Amino acid sequence: MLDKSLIGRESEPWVQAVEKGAIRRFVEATGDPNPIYVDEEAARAAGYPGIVAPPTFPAVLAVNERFRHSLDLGTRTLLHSEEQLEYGRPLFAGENITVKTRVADVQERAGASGPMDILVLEGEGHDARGALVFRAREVLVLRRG
Amino acid sequence: MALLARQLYFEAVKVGDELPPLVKPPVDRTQIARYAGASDDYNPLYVDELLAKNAGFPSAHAPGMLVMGFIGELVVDWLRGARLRRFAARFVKIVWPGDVITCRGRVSDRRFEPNGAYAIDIEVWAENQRGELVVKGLVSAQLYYSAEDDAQQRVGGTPLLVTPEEEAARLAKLSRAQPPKRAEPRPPPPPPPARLPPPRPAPAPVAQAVPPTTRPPPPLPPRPAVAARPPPASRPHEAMGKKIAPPKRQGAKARPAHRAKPAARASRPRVGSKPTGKKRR
Repeated sequence: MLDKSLIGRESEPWVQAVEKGAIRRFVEATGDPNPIYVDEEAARAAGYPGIVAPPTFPAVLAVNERFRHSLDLGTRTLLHSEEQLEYGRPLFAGENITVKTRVADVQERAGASGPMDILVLEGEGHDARGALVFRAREVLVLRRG
Repeated sequence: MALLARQLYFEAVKVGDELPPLVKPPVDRTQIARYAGASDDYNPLYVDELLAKNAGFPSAHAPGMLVMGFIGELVVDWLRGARLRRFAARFVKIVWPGDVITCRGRVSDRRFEPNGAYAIDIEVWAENQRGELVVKGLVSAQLYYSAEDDAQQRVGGTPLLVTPEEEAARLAKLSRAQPPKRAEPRPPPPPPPARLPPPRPAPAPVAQAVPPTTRPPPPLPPRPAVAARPPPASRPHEAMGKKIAPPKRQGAKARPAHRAKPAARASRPRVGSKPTGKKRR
């Protein structure tokens, strides 16, 4: 099973540029036609200072693949079972967000196909002035064997 | 002022209000691959068919976050610029290639908060073409009370303070006056676009494999494939632990104001096509 001592382990702060091309590819993938995600003018007309990131985009920034690797989860199948996002304010293209991820919890649970490990990761994004932009919490289920 | 009129204001929202459902084109493998790339999450269960089969799944599947993104589209369109505070989702059932996802939402709470803040909660959920609940969640948003509150705060003024009692008194007065009119004029509802299920109550549409629109989300299975119960929530995520009762239908009571949006849906691009820069509002 996963080691409980992982709880509290934290990644190095990691600066992520919010690129407008990345936002565009994201909404093209979800098929969301809202122009505020791709068109500067439409975003301003809607009252924003510039292109906005869609509400689930912070989850992308919060995932730190290198950190996840460092947890040594092995090759077990990993299912995403929950996501919780909190917003300090909207996120805009062109920003640099400093993200930190940490292990919030590790649990063991009995599943239909044997015991499963539950891993809860929390990420926080702050802007250049240090203000909280988002908090993201993901619950992952790891099957044994 | 035309800009301000586009917002959704607190005074226009009632508990029980339903969002016009959003039916997405079938999820296909190209979309799954694109989402994996765009979200930088290459979980092999999304992109590696052989590995998924070896792990005991019938095929590769869609990331839950893709469907949460669909729900985000539904909610952002309906809120029209109101500020999101929280968005939580539980991935109850796996979404497979070919599934047709319908996203729905219903206002479950409406709060007058201190210092002129006004907040609503929206229960949101997504169903597949068999009417099975695949994602369920909760959105909290903060709204301006009215166009007046919005205008006042945009020029740096203080929030408009309205108490529930004042609102009730105003509504009572409005209902005595005739004809009852809204604080702000709204456009008449457009005819429902062909792609969306007809307004409730109505039989299931024939053209698409969409579940009957009168069906509430099924109760959660005792131990769904993907659903892990949330661990005891540390800090501000408790809301997800709260049981969300299956939404009750409100039938024809959905107000036309919130149906104004779907007109734009009729011409929305298919998945994979480049979103156009056209203004929808």
